[in-house]
Amino acid sequence: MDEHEVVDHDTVPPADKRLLAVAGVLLLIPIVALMWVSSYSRVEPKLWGFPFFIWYQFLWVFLCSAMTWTAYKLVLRARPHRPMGEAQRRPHRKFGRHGRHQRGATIGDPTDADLHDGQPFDADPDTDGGRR
Amino acid sequence: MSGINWTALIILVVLFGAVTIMGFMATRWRRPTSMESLDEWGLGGRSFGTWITWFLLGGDLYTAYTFVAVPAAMFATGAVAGFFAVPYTIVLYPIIFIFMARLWSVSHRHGYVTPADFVKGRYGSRHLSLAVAVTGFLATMPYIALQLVGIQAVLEVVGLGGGDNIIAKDAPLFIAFALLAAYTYSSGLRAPAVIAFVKDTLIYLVIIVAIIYLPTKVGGWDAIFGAAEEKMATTNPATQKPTGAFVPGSTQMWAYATLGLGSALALFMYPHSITATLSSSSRNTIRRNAAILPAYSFVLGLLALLGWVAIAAGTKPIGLDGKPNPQLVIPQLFEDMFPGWFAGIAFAAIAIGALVPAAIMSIAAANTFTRNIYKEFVKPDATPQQEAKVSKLASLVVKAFALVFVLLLDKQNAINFQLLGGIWILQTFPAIVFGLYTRWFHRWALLAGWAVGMVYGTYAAYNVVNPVTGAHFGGSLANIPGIAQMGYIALTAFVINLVVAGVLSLALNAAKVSKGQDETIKGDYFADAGDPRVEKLDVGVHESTPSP
Repeated sequence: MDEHEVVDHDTVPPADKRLLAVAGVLLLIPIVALMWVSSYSRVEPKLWGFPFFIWYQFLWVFLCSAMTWTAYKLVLRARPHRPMGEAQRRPHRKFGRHGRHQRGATIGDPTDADLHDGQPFDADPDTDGGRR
Repeated sequence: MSGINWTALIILVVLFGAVTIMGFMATRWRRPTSMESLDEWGLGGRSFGTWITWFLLGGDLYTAYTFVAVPAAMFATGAVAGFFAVPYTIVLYPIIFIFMARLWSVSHRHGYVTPADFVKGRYGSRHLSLAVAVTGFLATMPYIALQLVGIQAVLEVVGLGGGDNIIAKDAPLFIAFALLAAYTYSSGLRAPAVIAFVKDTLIYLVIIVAIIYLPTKVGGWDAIFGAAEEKMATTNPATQKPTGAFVPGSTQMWAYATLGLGSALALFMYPHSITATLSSSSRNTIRRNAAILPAYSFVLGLLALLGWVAIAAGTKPIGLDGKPNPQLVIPQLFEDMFPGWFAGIAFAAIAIGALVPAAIMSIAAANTFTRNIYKEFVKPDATPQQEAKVSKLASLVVKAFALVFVLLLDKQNAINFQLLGGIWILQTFPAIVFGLYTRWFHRWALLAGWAVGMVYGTYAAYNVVNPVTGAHFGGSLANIPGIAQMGYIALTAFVINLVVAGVLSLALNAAKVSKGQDETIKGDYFADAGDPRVEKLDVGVHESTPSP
């Protein structure tokens, strides 16, 4: 008995839209608050000698951090990961590649010939293909 | 300030040399399992806990921008030019929270390593991809230039360079360039974990001492803010206007907000930022980190305030050529207030803190050149060895151009380098970020919008003339058309870019012009570790978090 649903992965995974909306609002609040400069561009009231302009922005560091953390938790719950597994159905395509691009060489990777040339500062010979 | 501060210089050289040698040795002394786990904690934060992860991630964030450019701007012209870095680095995280997970997912499903790869796969447009790659390469140059200025500031305060000879005058800069080129070329950065730990320890040590000790030495925060307010209100004889802003005035609020928002939108478009993000082990790592990294903004704010501490301390940042140079203010403050040996440690922290991100930025820019320009258009059948050679050359070229930026542009205002790079890189935002959500925008419309944004942005920046020196590209603020307020040119150009892209998309979609092949599917944007084809990407040398 095959309980495997055939999932069409050319769709957006389901999500609890209300939780996503709340998360979105939480992320938007710090942006709006800090872009609204006229609301905090003043010297008084001071706190430990710091002008309002300064300590208000410091306060937002922590408020933003708390809101982002909450948004993170909400987003995890709102849209649980939908494994892409074996059962996938792709739409018909005439052209186009689905596969992975060529890795290509970068500085400091196994194809970098200067790294293994026996000169001083030679990197360790990579015996397992540069995987770290 | 003539003469060499030998104590500081010796400590600087010793520490610098030690970190460099450790970096090289770490590649020879390889313990695969420990390397693996050292690598993993930086990226996934699973094995070593939140606090250690935060320590190591945060250490990447302190660069010449944080230590030199921002406090210098605070010292010279006050809160608008300097303190915007705080809201910038706060709103940065909610912004990237929103879209970076999608980029991670789709990139891991298709092996995309650069933003240009994604754009090509999504829109089927080699031209748009080329535009994104060229912009990434171009915009990284002033950013590296800023790091060079940071290293130069340290060397100049220590006493290296100077004199009337044109070569000797810029000797610290050439030394900084040579160090950077050597460091990158020999791939010492291949062991980022080991260097990172030492680098971060030095940096945090200096920050903690500077922030806790120095304010007490100049009479406390009341005295500091008093001195700053007084200086900013004093009329500058050269411009006949107040020297700067203590708190943004009513005509400066748009400037402040646009500088913060524009910089935040721009940061993650840089090649090195995307590389750092793609190196995480899961799509949610960046979101988790987004919550803990804002603490960095707090420390950045305190470092910015060091610029005002310097005002209270009476620091006189005079270059070796006898002219005032605000970029020297923090190294000078450290030299004035700390004993020689600790000043040396502080200089080493700044220099290393500038060198490592500069090297990484140049590598990331070079890799996007090789992959998206050279391999795509010049020599598609290049072997990996040829690609690696081209990458090395490109990395050298991007650094050489960064040097040219420093020599030609006004380095009295180094924060402008970062802002200039932002003007360019922000124009790739529509193509990259909107593409993560929709294909409604037409590829040709995005290309046109990009072009218009680039031309407008460059032209507007060229027209900002320094009133004292008469140099072009003297700043990053210009009048926002239609509002009669000064604002960050990058954001104005971005809005124009959006409008052009939107209008042309409407037209091109209606005319049914071909939109190119999309090789992604909707589910790709939600893939996570463990899904088919999602493997660790070979992004090469990188930092765990991009440096602002």
